[in-house]
Amino acid sequence: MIMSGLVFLDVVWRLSAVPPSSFFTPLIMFLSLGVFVFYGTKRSGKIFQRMSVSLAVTLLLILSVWALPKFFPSGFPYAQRLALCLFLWVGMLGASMAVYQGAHLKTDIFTRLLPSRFQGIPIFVTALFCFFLFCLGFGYCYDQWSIWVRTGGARFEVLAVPYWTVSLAIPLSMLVMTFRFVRQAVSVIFQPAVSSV
Amino acid sequence: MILWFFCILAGLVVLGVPLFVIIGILTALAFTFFLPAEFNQFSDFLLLIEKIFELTDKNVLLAIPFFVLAGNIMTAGKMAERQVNFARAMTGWLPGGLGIAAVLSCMFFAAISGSSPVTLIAIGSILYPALIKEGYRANFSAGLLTCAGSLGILIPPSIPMLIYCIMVGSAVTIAVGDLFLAGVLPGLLIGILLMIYGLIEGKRFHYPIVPFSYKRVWESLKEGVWSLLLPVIVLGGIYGGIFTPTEAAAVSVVYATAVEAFIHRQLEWGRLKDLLTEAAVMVGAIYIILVLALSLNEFFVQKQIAEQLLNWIKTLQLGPVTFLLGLNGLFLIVGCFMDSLSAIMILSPMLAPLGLKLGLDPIHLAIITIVNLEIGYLTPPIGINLFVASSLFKMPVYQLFRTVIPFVLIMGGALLFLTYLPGLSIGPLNWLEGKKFWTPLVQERDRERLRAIRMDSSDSVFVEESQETKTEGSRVLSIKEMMDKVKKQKEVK
Repeated sequence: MIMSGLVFLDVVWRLSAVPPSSFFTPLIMFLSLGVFVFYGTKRSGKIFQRMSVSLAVTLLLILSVWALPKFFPSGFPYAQRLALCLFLWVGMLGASMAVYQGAHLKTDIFTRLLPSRFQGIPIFVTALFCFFLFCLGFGYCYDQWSIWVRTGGARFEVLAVPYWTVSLAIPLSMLVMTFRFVRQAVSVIFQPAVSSV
Repeated sequence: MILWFFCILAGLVVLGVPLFVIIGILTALAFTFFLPAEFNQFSDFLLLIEKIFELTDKNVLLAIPFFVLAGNIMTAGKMAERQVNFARAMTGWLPGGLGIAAVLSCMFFAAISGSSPVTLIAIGSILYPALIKEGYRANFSAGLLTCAGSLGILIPPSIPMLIYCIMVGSAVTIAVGDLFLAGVLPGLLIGILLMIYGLIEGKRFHYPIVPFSYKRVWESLKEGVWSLLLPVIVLGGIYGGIFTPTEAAAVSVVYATAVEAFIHRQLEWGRLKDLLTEAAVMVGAIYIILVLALSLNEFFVQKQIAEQLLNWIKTLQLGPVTFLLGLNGLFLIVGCFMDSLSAIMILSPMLAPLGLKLGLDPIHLAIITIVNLEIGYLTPPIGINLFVASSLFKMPVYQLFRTVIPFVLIMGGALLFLTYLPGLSIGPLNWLEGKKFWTPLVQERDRERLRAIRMDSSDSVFVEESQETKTEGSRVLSIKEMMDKVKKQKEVK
């Protein structure tokens, strides 16, 4: 939500730089009309309430278009970069949550034919692979951190944020995934009748 | 060596290892065995992580979580029901009107969701009971909804299309907006063909019809206008030059939230947390596969697999026509055994540059790929829509497959048209550029879209999307580049 909000604000800011007559005037008129028609035709008998809602929306839009360039004169040039960095965290944490919910894509047609005790093997292989990625991720993050400490470089220029704060999502999520897969593997191997993966 | 490679792959598939692990292990093995000089230390595999980190450079990637979230928010509300009501009001007077309304609803919903299974669940759960209640055959109803639900990936916005653009980005630049627009006519074509089948079915079995009423159409339009406006905003915004596809996706999230929370009043704020979690999980599952597939793609680039394939095709003396026929066959087989997103991630980086070398329009090739994989959603054993529909309609998968056969044949026919009539996909783009709507299958490379970038290059610098705005600041540097920079700074000092 934050990511989309930021990018949305960036769009609004950019559009507010356009002369109002070319874009915002018709947009605001259209939206006000839409709100009015919607409220006007939904329930009859409350015309003043509907008009006030429509008017409030119009005023809010005009105010936001006026206020954004005033308060943020240089706009939000970091919006998409920040959203992409947040997305890395969301994506990696989402991948670790997908383990918990069993949402990772897999072909389990043949797995069902395996004896239940052996069904822990693929999960264990997955845990090993996640650990491999954790080690790589840790190494990568450490490299970025050491460069940042030594030189102050290795950072996003627009955000003034060091790379390692973003890439930290990789080893962290991989570590969580490793633990989750190991736990699943252990529970399937030792309690095959109870667990389901 | 290659035999060992396939044995390991088969073993992993049989064991039921998650797809991201299969792709990751394949990538690591490919680099180790086929590029031993460059990959002989543990630290060389940092490439896998660099690929993840490099994604913070790709603006277009942001559109995926945004469209997924917007789709989730709209599915949680009653947008689907409103669209169904509008479609019923529009087509209920025709023979087989409810069946036609089902296809139309799927098309409307596809224009806001970007995912086939989501479209199937949203529309199928409402319309399947209604079709059965009106006396429609269960087999026809299930088959029609399962098939029409797959339109979700063809009618923009489409998540597989976004992934396609990202995956082929190292070889061919495709603007997401162009691909979205190219999907409109094929989506309409398949939708219309399915509607015609519904009409014939209605005439044959004399299903009940509802008289046309302007009042009913107006009422349903009034209720559904906000959801029907979203595709207009997304596509209109992109083609009006107001925003990029990524920004359009962000706008759709804000729009969907505002409409569901303040106008439809269907979105409870407490539910929002669940919707965000659902979206994060869905995106996370795709994200991890995507980054590892990009690493595999890097191997293809370094080993020049596309070049080797091209040489092999030249020895077979295949022209573009036979190549496309073979491609359709390949994708149909792959679609049976592989999830569509995975197939795009693995195959498209090899096939897109190949098509380009043969003179095919990359957007046309992308649409062929998407339609093929749309059919892949309906073919066993790994047809996701079959599994979703099976649990939704309480019907065994084998029976469901029998019900979709006529629809798959219709889609196959449409695929042939789309394959050999490129105007159906790239016609609207030509028209916008002021060129002829219908173009020959093989073209001269004088078009802006046909820019071949880095076909023969082996470096891994990202290619910016042509329509995306570039964020300020340079791209993310790799560790090697950072080290070089530090060395240079030291030398200067």
